[in-house]
Amino acid sequence: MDFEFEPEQEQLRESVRRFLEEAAPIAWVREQLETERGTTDTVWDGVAQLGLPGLLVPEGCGGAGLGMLEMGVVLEEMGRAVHPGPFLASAVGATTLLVAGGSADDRDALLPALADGSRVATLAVHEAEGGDDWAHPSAIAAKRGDTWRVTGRKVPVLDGVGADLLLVTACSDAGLGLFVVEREGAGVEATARSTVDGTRKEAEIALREAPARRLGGVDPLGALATAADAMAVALAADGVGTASRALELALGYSNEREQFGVPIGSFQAVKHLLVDMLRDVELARAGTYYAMWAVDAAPPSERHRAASMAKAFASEALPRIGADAIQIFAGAGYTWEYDIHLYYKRLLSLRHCWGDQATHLDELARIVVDARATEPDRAP
Amino acid sequence: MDFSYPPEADAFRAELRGWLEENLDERTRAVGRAIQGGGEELELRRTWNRKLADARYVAVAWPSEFGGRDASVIEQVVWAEEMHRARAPAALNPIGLANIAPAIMQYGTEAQQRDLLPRMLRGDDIWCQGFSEPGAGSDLASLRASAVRDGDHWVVNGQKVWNTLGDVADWCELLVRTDPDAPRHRGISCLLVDMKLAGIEVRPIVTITGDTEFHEIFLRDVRVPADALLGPENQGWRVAMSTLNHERAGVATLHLGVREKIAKWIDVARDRAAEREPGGSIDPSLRRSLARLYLDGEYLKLLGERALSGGMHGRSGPEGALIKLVWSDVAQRAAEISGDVLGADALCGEAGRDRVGARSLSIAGGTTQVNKNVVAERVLGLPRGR
Repeated sequence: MDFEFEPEQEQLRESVRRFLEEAAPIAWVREQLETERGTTDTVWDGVAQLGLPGLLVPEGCGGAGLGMLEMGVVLEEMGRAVHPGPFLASAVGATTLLVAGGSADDRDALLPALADGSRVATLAVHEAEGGDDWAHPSAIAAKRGDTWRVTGRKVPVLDGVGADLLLVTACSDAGLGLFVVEREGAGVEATARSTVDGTRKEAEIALREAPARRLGGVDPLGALATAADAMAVALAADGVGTASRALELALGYSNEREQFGVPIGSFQAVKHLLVDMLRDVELARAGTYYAMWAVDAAPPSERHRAASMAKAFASEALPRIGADAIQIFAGAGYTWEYDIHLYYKRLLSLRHCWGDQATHLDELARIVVDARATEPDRAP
Repeated sequence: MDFSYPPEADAFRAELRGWLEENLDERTRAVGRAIQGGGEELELRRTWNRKLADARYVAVAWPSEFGGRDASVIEQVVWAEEMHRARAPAALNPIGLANIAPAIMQYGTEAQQRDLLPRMLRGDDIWCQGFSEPGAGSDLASLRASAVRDGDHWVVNGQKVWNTLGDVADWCELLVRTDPDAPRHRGISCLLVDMKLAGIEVRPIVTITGDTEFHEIFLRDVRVPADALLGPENQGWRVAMSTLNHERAGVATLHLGVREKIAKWIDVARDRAAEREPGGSIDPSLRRSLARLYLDGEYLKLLGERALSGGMHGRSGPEGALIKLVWSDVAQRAAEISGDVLGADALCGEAGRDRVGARSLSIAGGTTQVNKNVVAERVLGLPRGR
């Protein structure tokens, strides 16, 4: 029973935390709130120099060939720092889909640029009508001569404005396919979607006969399922980082802020709220760490169960932690000046990204309620 | 990170599973888990307890010199999993083995250890604790039962309440005030009291379920021999709080019973849907509630495993302090979901009893509110206060 990170993983955490504190402190984050890209060349180059975009890229394609345990550690730190920018969309979503759903040629052609950070990609799979049913897109693809053309609307697309490449789902005569579209290419229109969370950029993408490369993997649906699980777990890890930090800030404020001549943290009502927050952070942490391990090491069915649980729990419990943190800051927490609202808003948008609790609970129900659960003797 | 079990643990599992298959008969299994009342059922349990003791499967965490196995934390987990899987009745001394024996091992005289521990292990003697009083619940240190030295004896007077197993107990680990002038925690001593002594009266407490799960103990001029003192005089608080250093598997395996209940309600809900119409599906909102409850059971397990892992690898985390809070909440909701699964039928029989009985889970062993105060102060470091 080993629920601990390896020393190398802890070192990775340390170096990411130090980098973000120095290069992307909260004042920098605030500067990114109104931008469409969410990052700057300096900071993105720093992220790339740490090798982070290539963590999940196989070594043969210029990456580090590491797994979700390492990636989760990085994302927890980014969540902690309410770090904006296209990292999660590109280094987890697009990378995982290319690894799982691309041919060897696709991987060689596309992954090295993602690994070194020179290009950024994102998944464009959700549609307004389909909700989270990403397996059945209404976007269509057709071959015109030698070139695939894709038409459809995708929304919301994480970092859709800042990305160089869009990985698009569309149906053709041959069924579901995965297509790579140049963001700056013909027939692509990206419109930023302004949300309350300025640290997570969203866009709506309209494709009209946009030229595309079709990924050559044999199982696009399986690849999508792999990428969706990876996104669910990655977002949960990001959320654990954000929520832990929100709890720390609320705890600090409870010790410091005095009313009636004593710190507000000496009032039971405040104490119990903080303990409830701690409980949910630690439950989310245990479930997310387990899911990170399952992505790397468990069979697909267990990976999927763990990912569904992680995102269901994170979607429900973590936004509440952000809300409770605002409550503890009270009047100060309702001002733009104090930072705590940034954490709350990021946890709010987490809920809706890649499936909220209802979506994931229904999926979990399909796995464990509809079918008689054969109690796995030793699944942890 | 690695969730596999080491080969030694797998070997221990195979050995224990084989032993249980050979030694646990259906009649014994049928007595169930609750220890109540006397008669034939108690004797079946005692026979089973002795069998377990002879094979050193009663208290695997105990040191081998006292009849345990010095089991590692993982082996303790495996033991709990296998006993649960086999639906094996518990030993007769759940409180004695886990809570009283560690104090006797640490503070007891040679004679106390020799005379008391083997009989506790074999179930020859059943033990209870006399801690809470009518005026000392959450605030246990305000207890008032007194012991006054009189020659070779202590003369004990007072009233204890909420004694589990009080009706069948042969011995009691009793907390009494021996120095009324000392600060609250420092004037308390711990006595090991023979329940047959004159002046002890045990009365049942009928709980909200209508059962007698607990008892009151009245002590009137009970003359307890001086050598019943466990550990130093006036240090009874510290003595009573001792635990086995490596006995960590207990809270981390609390999930076993809860997850079994949750799985049962999922099965019942599915069966009832199928009864209503062949191939019928569970009401969508109940289906989602069941998935949520299932998730909570799984997360209770993961939290426990993270607590265990922290202990094994020298990382001090907050998980262990949170398990009781999470467990009581999930277990209560696992009892309450019967209302959604069975409708009005959940007021009847075992389901009704369990639903009502589950209220105790957030009260016994420290109320949820006191527990939260403790976590707030000890884990989060918040100021003591109001």
